Amino acid sequence: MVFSRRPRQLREPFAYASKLGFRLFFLATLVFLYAPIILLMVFSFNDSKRNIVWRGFTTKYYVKAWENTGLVEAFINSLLIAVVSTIVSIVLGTLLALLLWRFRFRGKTLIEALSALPIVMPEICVGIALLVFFNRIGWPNDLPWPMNLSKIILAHITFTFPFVMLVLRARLVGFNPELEQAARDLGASQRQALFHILIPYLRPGLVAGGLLALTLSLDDFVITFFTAGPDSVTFPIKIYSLLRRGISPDINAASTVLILLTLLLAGVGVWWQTRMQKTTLYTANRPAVQ
Amino acid sequence: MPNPEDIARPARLHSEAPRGETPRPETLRPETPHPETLRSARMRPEQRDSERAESAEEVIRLEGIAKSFGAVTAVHPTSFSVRRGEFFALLGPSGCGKTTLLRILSGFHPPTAGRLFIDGTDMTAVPANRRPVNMVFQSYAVFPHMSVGENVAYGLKVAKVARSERQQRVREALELVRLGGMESRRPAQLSGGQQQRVALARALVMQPKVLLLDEPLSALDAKLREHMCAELVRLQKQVGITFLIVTHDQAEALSMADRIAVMNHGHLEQLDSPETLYTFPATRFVADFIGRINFFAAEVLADGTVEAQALGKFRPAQDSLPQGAATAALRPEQIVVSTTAPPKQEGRSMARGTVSLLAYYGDYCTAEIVLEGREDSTEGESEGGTEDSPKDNTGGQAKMTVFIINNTPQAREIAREGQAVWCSWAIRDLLLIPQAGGG
Repeated sequence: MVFSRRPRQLREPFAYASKLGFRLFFLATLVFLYAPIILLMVFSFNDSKRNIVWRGFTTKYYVKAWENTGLVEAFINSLLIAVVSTIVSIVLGTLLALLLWRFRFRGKTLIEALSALPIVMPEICVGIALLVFFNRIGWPNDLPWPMNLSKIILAHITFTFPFVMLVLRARLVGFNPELEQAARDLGASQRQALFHILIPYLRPGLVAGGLLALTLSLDDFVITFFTAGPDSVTFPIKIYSLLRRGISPDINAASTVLILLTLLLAGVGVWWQTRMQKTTLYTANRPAVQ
Repeated sequence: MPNPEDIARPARLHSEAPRGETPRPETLRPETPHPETLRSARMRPEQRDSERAESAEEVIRLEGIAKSFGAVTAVHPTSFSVRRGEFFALLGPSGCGKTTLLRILSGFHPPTAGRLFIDGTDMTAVPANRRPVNMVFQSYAVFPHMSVGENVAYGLKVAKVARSERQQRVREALELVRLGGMESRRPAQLSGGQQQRVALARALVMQPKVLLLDEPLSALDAKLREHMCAELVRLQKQVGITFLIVTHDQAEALSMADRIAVMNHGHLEQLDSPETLYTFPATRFVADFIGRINFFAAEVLADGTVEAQALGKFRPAQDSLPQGAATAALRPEQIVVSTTAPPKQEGRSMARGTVSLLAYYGDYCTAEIVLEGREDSTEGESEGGTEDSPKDNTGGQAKMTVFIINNTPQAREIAREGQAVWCSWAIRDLLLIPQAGGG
């Protein structure tokens, strides 16, 4: 790790980067954060049944993981759940964010608090609550695919849409209301002003919120565990069930695929956002004082 | 702080002769408080019929428009009209209701009371997107995710104007605001002044009946502001569209507008041409708000003469002033300062004083002259050391603000603190504002 050397006499609060002790601390943090992930990925190519000694390079565990139909099915389930719950979360989160931004009404504070609650609620409690709830209302367990995923999708929406809403509300704070008025002034109806001006302005927030929802849904274990039925297994749950028979490199391989997928999604999101920022520079919606 | 633009006002860009130092024709001086003031600012119902006859000339007519936000009244019932093709300014300090009025015109605020006519049609209940007026917003509100061309084309696109015509009109509008060939630029690549031109083109391309401008120059620096003033006047002449500008800057309003409506506390104080507003302010507020002025407490006596603090007794040029307390007002540029006593002249008055506060503006100085007591004055002004504002002589030491043009032989003599000087003025220049009309 390279930190630029600063003069010793610096005693500002942010001069800590120049202290040796702190540098070691940073290094340790990075090691504990990333070494396990790198090891996991490296050993997915290890030609051995055990994750201890390097025995040579192979991709056979990727083939093995691919041939494990249960794992592939779980992976497809996870993707489907993530995509559907993200789309619903984006719509729901946007509607709620716009509602809370535009209007003042009775019970607004209550709705604000209630909608943010799923973020702070312990997942285990939400999971158990959902399990009890779905049993109580008698949600059918024997629906054909993909309807058997409906419980998990509903459960995922409950904890992903508040994130979309929060991201969008933060973005709306910076919106210049004169932009919308200008559209109205130029003849746009309220609906046109919404789709021509406000939604395009929100797009970076929609991308960020959507990515957040997607990754949260993709790797959720606790809540999914309580809402999944015997034949509606998701990727994290499948990996967990495989673990019970010992850690084999095909789990490494499957996990590596999940990590790479998440990285890919995040990368696409970041690329998309920077491209949008470059072409439009949303900061320019206030007058540039010369 | 005094504003240099108060006298460094650019000569008017209209075809009319520049006003200012030229002696004003006697015919301008009204016999009674200015008739136009009475007609427009305090219009009574029976006077409206004669106004109706002029309706072909009017493009906007407000009839008793008022607006309250809860318990707060932003605009008291206000009636006036804007003539077709004129450059109209709504002028007033912040919070006077001018922006609220503009938003009522544009359709963003429904008025609490009254009716609004645009081009003879009742538009009181018509939403913003169906009004034949367009607005240049204070923040310009250029759509950041659209190119300059897309911005200007937006209104035409919504109105479903054919593509070829759209492109043609966008090109013309951009050339009009001198942004020709910038269609594909992004707003983020433009300066503030250029963004404003985009906002102007975007509104003008719609060929509105009235173009509304909300403090269009407030975000620009002084030099660019002056340039943009001239540019707006040029544009207005070129397109012939009625411009209605809202501003708190009196120099801006004076230099650009054909007529100015001065507002204060949600009331229309006076509606007149810049010349009339400056020369014959109807109220003390208008006199104070527009340009710089010295006020002196005065009293109109039974015989029609006036006794004013520090100015003495004189017979005013205005007739039929209501008896009682009044305010005498004198513009700084109407005061001649000299180090020696000027010769006594019929119709002129003078006072001795000492230069006390000098402020340097490059081309001119403002000086505060502390006046000595006059023998013929009974008001006590010799106490000295009071903290009265120089323009508001209601007691204590009388002061008056004067202008000294720099780099002249006299200026070098006068512009010294502590210098004893003589101030003289023509009595007919003293403007008397009855207390009732005072702010």
